[in-house]
Amino acid sequence: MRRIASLVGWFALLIPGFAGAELREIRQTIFGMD
Amino acid sequence: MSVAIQKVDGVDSVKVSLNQGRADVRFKPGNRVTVERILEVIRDNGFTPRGSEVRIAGKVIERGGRPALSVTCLDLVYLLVDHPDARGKVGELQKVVVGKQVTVSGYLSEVTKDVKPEEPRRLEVRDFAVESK
Repeated sequence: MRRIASLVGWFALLIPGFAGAELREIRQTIFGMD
Repeated sequence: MSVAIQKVDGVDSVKVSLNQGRADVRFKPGNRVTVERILEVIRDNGFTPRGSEVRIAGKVIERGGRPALSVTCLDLVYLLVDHPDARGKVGELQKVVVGKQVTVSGYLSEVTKDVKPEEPRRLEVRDFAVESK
């Protein structure tokens, strides 16, 4: 079981973006209506 | 506008204050939203977005000897430069975390006409944290 979990962990690292590469938060300045 | 932003797939919460001229957006884990997508929604609603304070997770890489943040799932690279209020952060980051997964907080200035679309955008680093696995 532990070996399967370890394999899953390694494959997860190979998937682009799996490690949580992403936008987390934006605090955006906006100006009024055009 | 907050309803329109909330509809973007991957958005967790939105708080818009037109009096303060601010839109605060948080994202769900595993999202594939880009900053540009949010700016597009703001523009579509008749407002003009300016600079963005962002928090982005990615891997620190080197691009032409300069540190950059690679957001693999979006195929995006941001060049990391010092923020005027946090000088030295990029040097610190380059020394300790190249090749590691980090969360970077910083400022993305608005895209002006003199910014070439093919060049990576510059993210002014205020702070960073190494992600725990």
